[in-house]
Amino acid sequence: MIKRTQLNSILVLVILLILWTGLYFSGLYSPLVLPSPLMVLQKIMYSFTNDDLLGQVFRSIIVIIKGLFIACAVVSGALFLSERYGQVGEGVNTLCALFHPLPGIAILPIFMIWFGVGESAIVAVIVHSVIWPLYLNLRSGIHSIPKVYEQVCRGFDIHGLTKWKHVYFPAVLPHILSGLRTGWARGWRALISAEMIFGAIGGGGGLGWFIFKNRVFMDTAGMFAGLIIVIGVGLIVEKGIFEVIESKTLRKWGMIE
Amino acid sequence: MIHFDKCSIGYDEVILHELELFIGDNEVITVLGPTGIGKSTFLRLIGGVDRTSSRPVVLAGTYEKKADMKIGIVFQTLDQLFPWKNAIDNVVFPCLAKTKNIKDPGLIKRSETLLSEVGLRDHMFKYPIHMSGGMRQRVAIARAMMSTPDLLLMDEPFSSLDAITREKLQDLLLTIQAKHQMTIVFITHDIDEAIKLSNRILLIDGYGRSQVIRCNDNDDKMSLKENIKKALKKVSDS
Repeated sequence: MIKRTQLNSILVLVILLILWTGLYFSGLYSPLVLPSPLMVLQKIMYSFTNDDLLGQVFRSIIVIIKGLFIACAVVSGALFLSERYGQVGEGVNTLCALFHPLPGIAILPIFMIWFGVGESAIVAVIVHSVIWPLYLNLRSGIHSIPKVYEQVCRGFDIHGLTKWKHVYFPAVLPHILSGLRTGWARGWRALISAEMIFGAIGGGGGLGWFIFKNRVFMDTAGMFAGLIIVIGVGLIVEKGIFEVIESKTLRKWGMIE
Repeated sequence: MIHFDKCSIGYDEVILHELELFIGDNEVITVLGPTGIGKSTFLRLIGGVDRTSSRPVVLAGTYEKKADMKIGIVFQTLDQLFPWKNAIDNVVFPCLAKTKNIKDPGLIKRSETLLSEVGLRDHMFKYPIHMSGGMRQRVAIARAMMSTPDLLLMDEPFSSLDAITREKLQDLLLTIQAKHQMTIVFITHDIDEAIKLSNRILLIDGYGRSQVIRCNDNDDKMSLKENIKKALKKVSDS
């Protein structure tokens, strides 16, 4: 059964499509500036079958997964050290204050010098975009674990890895998901931007490069197609991964509304 | 089982002064006093549930307890159960201290028996979010019983519940104590609850001074209640 919120979303999409189609048929804008939704749909189909769009999407996703894995490993290590040694925690907090506001794309030129023009620089930008929000979320999650859980563990003599696995990890799960969600969104934006810049300097691949390539050939429908795929992937990750995990865990347990 | 001999307890400063108390096997003793005067500190010292840095210590006198005593704890807060575990998994939790295999049929069977004892036979697979406050405290009692404790520490476990549920749980606790024969130290600020549950009441006043009141089954409850009120006032005024 379709929920009210889902109906509202569908309604907004339909209104948007009607407005877009109306604007196209009004003749106010050239199809070179504003293609019709049908033209964009045809371009998407064409690109999937003839222009390796699926491959570009796949390449982008592989790159962001690499970045996310490295970021998770770095954050786990930083958290372990921060919780064990107070001074490390203070140091990492200072780094967060310095680098968290820095957009990934602003640091890309430096990474291009350090890592070369290629995937490594993009992965580095993604790692930079993900680690700060993830670290901050997880640290705040660990510090907001109810005191009574610790007392229950001590009372029943539960320590070490067992405590982390059965109590701390599930207790911090809302913050882990929230951190990953923010990290993913920042990383995804950084990735598309970086791929477009790499497209501008002649290398590349991925969705950002696909959009940039269509800009070079003034293929507006292709650019719109790229944008729709970027949005689509974002939606799939949000609705198909994060929300599913949430509904099977946090919502089921009443840890979030 | 536990002996306090002119024992002063606190952190940097003394909170409980020169406590003189012996708690015997299979005894129920209640600790009564206003909020925030060190009742929980007393319990924490016995239970050792705090980090070393925030744990109360014995500042003077002596405190002894039986070696290898198994302790179960029930806290005041209704959030003491883990929301990601259903009733059975919460009850089995203490077994993690000894085994990784908490799906062991023997343990599951025992947890089912305990949940039945606390009246939750039909709610074993419910998550805490779907339980009332009273049901959660019942699960917490079953969890504390899982490690077959010699001593059950209860820190105002029924204070967040309505009067009817509280009375039901008091009766349940007495039934469980009679069946399992264990010592219970029960903290409360409710005089009626203290009288109902125990034969000895440790009164603590706002200055950390204490005295023990005996109450027999054939005592007139009303006059006993008045005596306790007077005693509390007397301890406070002295």
